[in-house]
Amino acid sequence: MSGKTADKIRIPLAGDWSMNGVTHQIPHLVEQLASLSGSLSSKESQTCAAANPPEVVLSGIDELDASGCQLMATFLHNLKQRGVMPLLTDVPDAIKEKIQFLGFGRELGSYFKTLQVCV
Amino acid sequence: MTQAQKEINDIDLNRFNQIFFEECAEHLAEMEQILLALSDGAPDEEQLNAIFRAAHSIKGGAGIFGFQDMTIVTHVLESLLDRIRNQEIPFTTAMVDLFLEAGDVISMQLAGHRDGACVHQDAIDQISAKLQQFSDKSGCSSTVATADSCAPVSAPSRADSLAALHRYELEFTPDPDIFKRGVRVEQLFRELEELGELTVNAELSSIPDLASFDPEICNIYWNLTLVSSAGENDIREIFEFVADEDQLKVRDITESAAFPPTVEPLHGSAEKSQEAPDIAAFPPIMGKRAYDKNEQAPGAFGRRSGEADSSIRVGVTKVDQLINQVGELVITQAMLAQSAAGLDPVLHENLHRSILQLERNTRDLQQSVMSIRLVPISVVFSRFPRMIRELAAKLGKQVELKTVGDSTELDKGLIEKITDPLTHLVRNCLDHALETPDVRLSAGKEATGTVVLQASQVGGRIVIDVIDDGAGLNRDRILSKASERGIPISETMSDDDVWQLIFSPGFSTAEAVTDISGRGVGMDVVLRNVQSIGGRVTIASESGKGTRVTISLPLTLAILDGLSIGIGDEKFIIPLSSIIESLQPTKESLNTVNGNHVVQMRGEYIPIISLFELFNLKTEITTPEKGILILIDVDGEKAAILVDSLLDELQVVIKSIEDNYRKVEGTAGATILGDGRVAMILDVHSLFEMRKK
Repeated sequence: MSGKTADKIRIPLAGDWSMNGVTHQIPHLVEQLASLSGSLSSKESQTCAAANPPEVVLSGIDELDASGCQLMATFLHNLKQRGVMPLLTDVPDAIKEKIQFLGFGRELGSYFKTLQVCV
Repeated sequence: MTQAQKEINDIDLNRFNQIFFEECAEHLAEMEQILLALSDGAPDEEQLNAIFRAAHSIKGGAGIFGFQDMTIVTHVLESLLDRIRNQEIPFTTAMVDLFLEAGDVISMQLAGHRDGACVHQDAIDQISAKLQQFSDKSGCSSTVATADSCAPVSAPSRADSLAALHRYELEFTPDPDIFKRGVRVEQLFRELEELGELTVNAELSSIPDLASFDPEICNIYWNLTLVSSAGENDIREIFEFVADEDQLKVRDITESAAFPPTVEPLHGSAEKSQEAPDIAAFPPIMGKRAYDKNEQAPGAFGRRSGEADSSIRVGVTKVDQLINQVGELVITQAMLAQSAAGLDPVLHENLHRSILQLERNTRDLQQSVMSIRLVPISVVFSRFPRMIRELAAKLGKQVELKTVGDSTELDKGLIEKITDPLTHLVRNCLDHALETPDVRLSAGKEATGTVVLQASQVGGRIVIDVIDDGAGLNRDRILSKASERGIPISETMSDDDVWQLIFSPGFSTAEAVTDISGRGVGMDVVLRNVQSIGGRVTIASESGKGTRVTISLPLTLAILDGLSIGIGDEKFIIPLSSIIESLQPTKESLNTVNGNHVVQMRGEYIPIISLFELFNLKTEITTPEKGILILIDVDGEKAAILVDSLLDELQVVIKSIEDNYRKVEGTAGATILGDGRVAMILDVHSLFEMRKK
């Protein structure tokens, strides 16, 4: 579920992002994608989203493997295709290491860019 | 996921697990074989590398397939072996037993996953601790199952390994179902990482729409760079369970990349920084060990040959199905030939020629198919070095095992059934036959006794001899024990008849019952098991010199070449392998000895077996001079079978009549002939027994 805090959209990802749990993540992600797409229908909101990108919060992820990385990358690319450039935040070290180890450093690395703030 | 999909996935997973189980068992067998070969001295580099490679492969496969518990022992074992390879700690003979024990524990874990067998955690903990203890002796404090916390590569050896570094580019495009198969990609990368410095880059093949995306389908390909002293085969071996050749491209770009043989770490290089500008925050992942640096030598132990790579694994049930179908084809071909035999050969010349061609093709096909089931007897023999080593140590005896004819092939079904009888026989050799060194020395023998396992193909049978140079069977003691057990005996019994007494149920001459033998449940079981597969057991023994137990088995249990013969209205099949010749006897050559008919041939009197009498058949040919005698030979014993007529030489498919009817004495089964009739296949050995009765 996404939540707005001072105009900031936060998309928390949680639970099992390994082969055992990836299928269960899909409905939540599709829901987030639809919700974001709807909220970005106006030009004004798109401008704000570009300046104040949604944050995808990874602190709740318990398990992550290659299938999870693939799903995460697909989700982020889908957001990007809809004009949203999200940021990955609150990434636990273990998850960071796993992403790098599985070779998704470049695929997901661009989403770690310096945070921008909508003033 | 639906229940049906889940079941399909489970089946797929089981299939891949099965491959791992088989490979793992092979690695364990190989490790044991090398360890046993080492027992007399220190291993050479190749042997050590091979043991290491086996442990390493098991660990890798176990990790990939999610059998994490199996990686615990293998990890400590691998670490210890690596320290020995790096000459950080010396190899000691005690390590042979330790490694064998570790192999047993891994086997136990394997059986646990494969067969649901009981797994003793105590044994796992104990061997892990023991291995760790050996590993710690040199003061390095690595911990059990902690990934390489004891970095074993000393500065000089690392420099050595870097001297021959290669830079590889790998492109790994896995099967889309790799996730469903339960393959853990990170484990593959960890294995690679152990070979050297690794960088990994994953790319999505396409960006699917999330709503229609199946996250269980792998849509990724990986580009990897590995700097390692390992060879290309070592890299491919890591992927052996998960990628075909076209799914893994490996390029050695050492020269084209002008890769400098430097000892500077490559990780975090400028090149990599440019590739992934935003991941500087990620911790660098360093390669840990440069394994297998000396395994480039041709013929190195454990290296897979090109031949092995070109083989495939097929389930036994599929092979059996194929054999059955070919058996049916043989019968159909025989029926066709019989039908065509009634047609004019001139008018139907083409048909006759085609049928002959079909017969040849069927025979070739049948031989090819039968050969699929053949496996070398070394599969059985290879289990004995370990057993003999341990039993000899337990009994305080010195024993040398020699094997002859290891490559002799026999049917897989026979291999499975002959293993237990052979084990009994070898245990008996050690416990009863071979003497202790002092007894042997006082008898003028060498202190070390010898057990010879010898296999060969003789005619249509496989002969396996178990020979020892021990004390030989004790005739007086056997007779005395037989008498005690109420078995009828006489002092005039031939040695051969006396030796047969040890096959009586519960018969044992052992003074004491031990955990090895002496309960008298051995030889009768041996005989029964061997007889159940159409085999025979004979014994030859000489006091003070030793004993030879010979097991004779049919080459195959499925098809045999036979001669069909007629008696009255009945047809029988005699195995061609036991036939010497056939003849029509003259009155002068026939005699009677003690009321039994014999025929004189080349100065030899040969007993005549009248099948019509044995099987109570009606026929007009009741005297030898009116019929035909077929001379047969079984293990040097000859007899002449009286038949009405010789009909045809043919290949027959052996069918069990016991399954549908009952055992018929004197027969080895039945077959269906070309005219659809059933003919009994004669067991000539049991005909001899019937005649004696």
